[in-house]
Amino acid sequence: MRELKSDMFLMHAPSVFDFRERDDLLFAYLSDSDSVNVTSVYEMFPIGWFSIKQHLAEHDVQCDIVNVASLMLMHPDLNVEELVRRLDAPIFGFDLHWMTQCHGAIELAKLVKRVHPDALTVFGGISATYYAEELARYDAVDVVVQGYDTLEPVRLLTEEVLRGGRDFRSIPNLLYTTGDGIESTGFDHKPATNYNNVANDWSYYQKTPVTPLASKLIMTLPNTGCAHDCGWCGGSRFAYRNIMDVRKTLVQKDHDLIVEELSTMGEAAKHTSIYALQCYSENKTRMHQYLDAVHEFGYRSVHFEQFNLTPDDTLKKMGESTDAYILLSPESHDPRISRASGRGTYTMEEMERWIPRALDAGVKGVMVWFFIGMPYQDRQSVMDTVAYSEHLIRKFKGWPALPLICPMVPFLDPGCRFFEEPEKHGYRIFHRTLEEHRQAMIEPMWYRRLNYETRWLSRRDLQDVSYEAIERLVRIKGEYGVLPGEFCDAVLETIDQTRRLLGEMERALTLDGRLPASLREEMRAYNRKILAYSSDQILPMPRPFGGRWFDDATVPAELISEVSDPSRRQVHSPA
Amino acid sequence: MTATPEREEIATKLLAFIRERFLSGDPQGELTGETPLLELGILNSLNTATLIAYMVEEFEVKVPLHDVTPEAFKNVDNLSSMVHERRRSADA
Repeated sequence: MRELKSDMFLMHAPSVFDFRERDDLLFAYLSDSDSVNVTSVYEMFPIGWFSIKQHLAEHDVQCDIVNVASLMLMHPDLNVEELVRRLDAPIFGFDLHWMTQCHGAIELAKLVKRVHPDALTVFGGISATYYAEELARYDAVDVVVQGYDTLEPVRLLTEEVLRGGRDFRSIPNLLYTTGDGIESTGFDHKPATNYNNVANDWSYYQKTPVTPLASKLIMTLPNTGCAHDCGWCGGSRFAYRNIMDVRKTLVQKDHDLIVEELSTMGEAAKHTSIYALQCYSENKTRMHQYLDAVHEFGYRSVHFEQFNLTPDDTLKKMGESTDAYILLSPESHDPRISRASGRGTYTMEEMERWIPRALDAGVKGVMVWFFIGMPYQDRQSVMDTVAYSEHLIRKFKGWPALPLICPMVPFLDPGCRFFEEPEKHGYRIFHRTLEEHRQAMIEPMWYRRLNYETRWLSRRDLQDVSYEAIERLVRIKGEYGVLPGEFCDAVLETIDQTRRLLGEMERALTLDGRLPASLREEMRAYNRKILAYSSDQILPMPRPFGGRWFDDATVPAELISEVSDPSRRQVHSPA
Repeated sequence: MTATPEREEIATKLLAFIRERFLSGDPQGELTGETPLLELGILNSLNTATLIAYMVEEFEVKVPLHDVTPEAFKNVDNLSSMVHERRRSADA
């Protein structure tokens, strides 16, 4: 029997476990916002796991990442329990970084505990830190590691377990249950410099084949926390002070380590893109050094998240360094809403004057993201944003300044300002505890999953206006030739089908309190179809799984084959 | 629909589009019909979508997703052949 051995497996669970079994909830198009190339199973794990893996490797501890969510999508007949049985390690780690994993991670931990009762289950991440006490009370959770940089606590924890011990009292940032209740070892390990102080190694990704619709894409994360303070964001200054109990809310990574990371793609850099996360919090010196490194290693393109209109000298350097794309996120065309969302540092007029300068400097394209679910934003305002988007498309001919819009789903981040002070900002919160969020994740319809609504848009309104807005925007993109007609038709057909199904589900639940068998069968078929590929709104076309940086690279094909059950295929294979 | 253009004519237009849109005019004149578009990163997913939109509009062809393969998008020669074939089938 083939087995994988390690000192620790980091297990990324799907949002709902086991999503393949569910015919009572709809993994509806747009329920994951469609802003990133993942499904509503949220199969991307936190990039910080690479740092943990690398840090442990430097201390002779083997750590392997198993992306269970991605494996389940790619191999619908995978027997997860059998896979877990073949994983042999004394420690299993789980991410509760984003709340999207709140259901799946704990369910997967239960399975691990059942199969390996002596193994230690460990949770970490921003949400795990916020809900540390509640999380630690679940039987399947042995230890919660709090904090934004847990490299040292995790190292000390693994070394203790590998020595055969279970005395964690001297290890900082831990919460765990004992016979006497919850034990805390304090929350004092909060590095103020050199965030995640190791270089991530991308070499495993060099040989991944390149396909036309699935570019190779890596990510860089030069800091944690934020220089900004958006009320809806769990990574904002307010949220970091609140969750991490720190005064310094932006901690940078050593620039040399970022350069070292970039070097690990070798020759493959020339056909690899980078998504430059959180570079909006970088100062000019570090940003320009980063651009020098991108240029030196020959990266083909970089997507830069920017909260302000990038100054001319940086634009020029971006244009000279690579195929640069800038992602702006004013959230709304309306300056009042934009400001209330934490942005509003420029008007749309200023942005429209800046876009030609960016393009002239060599920037290949600007993507302008708008958000649904912000303060003061009603249905009319959302549709006005779409009308403004048409103006942008007309003026800049589509791709050079591409507008996009998505709803804030499924949750307003616990710990952020709007979650903590809802009335003050026009919000109403529906789920407060971790368990309430877990139950929400398995609500049949996504508007009932939402943990918030606003004074201006109810949860149902948020769902309805999201489809209305995106349907209109896709039609506009088709009319102006930004997207080929057949791609638009496919999205519009999916939106139609989704709305019809959600309507039928709502009617059935309202009238009978249950979903009839025929409707469940249709939901099952829909879920199979929608979870058979990944997509996003920038490129709204089905793209095959595999080849993304976070798709599983640990479990070998032979083992997958051994733990797959072809009899499941009839039931679970995507249509 | 206009008459089917020759393969060379299609290739010339595709080369011009790719040079202009993705290679800043290709000042070194490096792009040829055999240049590996995917291997050199000239076509990433974003550029592929832009190119498909151009092909649909310029040559009045359909490009179904199952035709968006590494082989078809390997270089301009292969793309020209695909477009030419599709135009011929449509005209037949």
